Amino acid sequence: MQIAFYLSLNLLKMTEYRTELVDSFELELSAEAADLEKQLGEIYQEMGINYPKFYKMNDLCKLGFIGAEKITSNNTSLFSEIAKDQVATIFFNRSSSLVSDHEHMTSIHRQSIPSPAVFVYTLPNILNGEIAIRNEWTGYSAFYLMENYEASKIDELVNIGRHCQTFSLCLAGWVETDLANQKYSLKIMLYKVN
Amino acid sequence: MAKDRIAITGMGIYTALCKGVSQNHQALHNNKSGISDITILQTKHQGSLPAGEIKKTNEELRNATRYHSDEKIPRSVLLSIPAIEESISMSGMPDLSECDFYYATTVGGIDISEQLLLEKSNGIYIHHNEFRYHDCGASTELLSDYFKIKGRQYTISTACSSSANAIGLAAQALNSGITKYAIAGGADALCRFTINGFNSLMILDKEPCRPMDNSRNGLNLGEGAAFLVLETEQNAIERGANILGFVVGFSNTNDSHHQTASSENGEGAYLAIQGALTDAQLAPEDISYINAHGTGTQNNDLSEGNALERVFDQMPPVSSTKSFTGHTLAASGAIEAVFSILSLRHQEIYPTLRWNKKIEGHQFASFNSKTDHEVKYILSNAFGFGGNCSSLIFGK
Amino acid sequence: MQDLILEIKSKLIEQLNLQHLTPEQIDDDAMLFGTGLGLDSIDALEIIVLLDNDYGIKFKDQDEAREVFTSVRTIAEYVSKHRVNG
Repeated sequence: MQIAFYLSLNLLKMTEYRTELVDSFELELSAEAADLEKQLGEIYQEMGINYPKFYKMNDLCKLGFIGAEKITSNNTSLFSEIAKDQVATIFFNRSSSLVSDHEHMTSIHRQSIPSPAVFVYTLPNILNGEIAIRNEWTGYSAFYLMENYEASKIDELVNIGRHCQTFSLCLAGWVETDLANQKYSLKIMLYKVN
Repeated sequence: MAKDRIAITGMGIYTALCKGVSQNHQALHNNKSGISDITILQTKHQGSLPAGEIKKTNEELRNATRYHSDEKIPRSVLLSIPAIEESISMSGMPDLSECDFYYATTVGGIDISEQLLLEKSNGIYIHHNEFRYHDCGASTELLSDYFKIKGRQYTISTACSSSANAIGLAAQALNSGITKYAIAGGADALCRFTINGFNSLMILDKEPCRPMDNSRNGLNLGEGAAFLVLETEQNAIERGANILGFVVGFSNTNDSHHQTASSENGEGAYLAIQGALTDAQLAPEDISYINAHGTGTQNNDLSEGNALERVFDQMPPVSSTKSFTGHTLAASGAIEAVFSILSLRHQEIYPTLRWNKKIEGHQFASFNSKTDHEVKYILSNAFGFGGNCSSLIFGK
Repeated sequence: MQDLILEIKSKLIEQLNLQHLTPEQIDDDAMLFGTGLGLDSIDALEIIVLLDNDYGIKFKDQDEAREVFTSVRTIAEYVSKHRVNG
């Protein structure tokens, strides 16, 4: 299901919390190089992760999962100090779960029963769920849509999230699967909240 | 929210029971179910899957608005309009230019898109502009424009916890002082996308649902819309508004178990309930009644009941009003918020219709008829796919 | 039967996104759920859809299906007895 989250935020009075950017990771994939799903599979294999559930995910979740793995593996001692209910995930994109929505919608007409495994991924916040399952995180999770990547809006929403709910670490990021232009973009950040 | 409690000064609702707060109250008070055979949505599941369907075509809904007859407006927007109108009118809010809008939906304009795609597959040319109301943010913009709401717009979509999260987020924004008024709630409409999707998961009951009952066999989908007008208590008192109730606590957590199923011990639910109690600075024994998420699936009701039993030594009365409305997906949190405020105002609690026997393994029972009850604080749960668990607490 | 077992293994690998496995790596009698292959409830639903679409086999509910889905061999034996098409 495609979801849009249009924001027009004023400056927020969030002065009681400070977020510190601890780490980040970026990835751009284009279908000019090779099939996008295949590229994601190759990156996963190169990283040496043993998590067969990866292959069941849609491309949105695979892309975000790779980013989360990069961040957690680079910051193992930091994550080990923080309780699992203190880690939040807040993600953003423009295309929502369109990678799965169209497939589900067309399969309704093609088959007597559409694929349940495809339907499961027709919500973008399943990405938050997959990363939470992998890491056993039980903290705050949110997914927003924006027209375009805007770092300042991501910062603001991390702060709103922190105001809603206690968390000490936040994995926030832009996870975009642009099917029209055959480009996938990932910009993932790790914030520490002081 | 150690912070202040947030005043609810207006509410509006449209469900399969009927349109309007007092009409919904009458149906709840009289144990009158809104579950029926599907007649409006054109689907191969007509006659086999009951639902909480609003018996108005899109044309009938649109004719009651200012939209022209040739405009294809998403059904979830058409359901939202009378509900938002009612909430604004009830609140007597003086100025929508200082009002933020927190709108929750999962379906958005999918009902229009799926019809267009069907026509396209039959060879009819469809211009891509016809899909302009597909995404959920378009619904938010349509409604903001319709009511001239000038503040910030947020579209929340976290599956079945969406409008609970909209209310929680709005309450926190008010508490932080960034806004003066907020309209928070949501809507979802029945469509082929969701009915076929849920059917593929084999969690739809072919009979009217029996949440929290040992014989439960799945959920019935529903549709509807509900909205609250929220403001700080101080602002409400200063302008002499009629306060209907308060949002006193909110928490969101992740179950971290499965994309769509809940953990057996209800860990995410447990943490959300505990988090809301902490946020409200209340103890479990302060809760007078629980409006459960209670979908009627084997998995949710077992898991949620387990979570409740972990929190409450002495269980207050628990029921699921999805037995009246069906599971209205993104709208459920807000619809059940309105039902909770009705409960507080009338000092009565609404049943789980068709409930008969407690779930094997649970100690607590539900109840199947409207009951007078002293109600001070209500816990309302909303749990969505992706492990998204939210709990709200409302008070007098 | 061996041909059908191989056919079902290939279909499961494709339908359930088990690309990291080859048919030779799936033991005919290995447990599909719980331990063994570690499939979950969504995989069970996918197998139900697969058997309906490819062989015309319909299950009343998930409980009925789970009794059949112990291993690839038990699925193949059930398909062999109950297939309507494919």
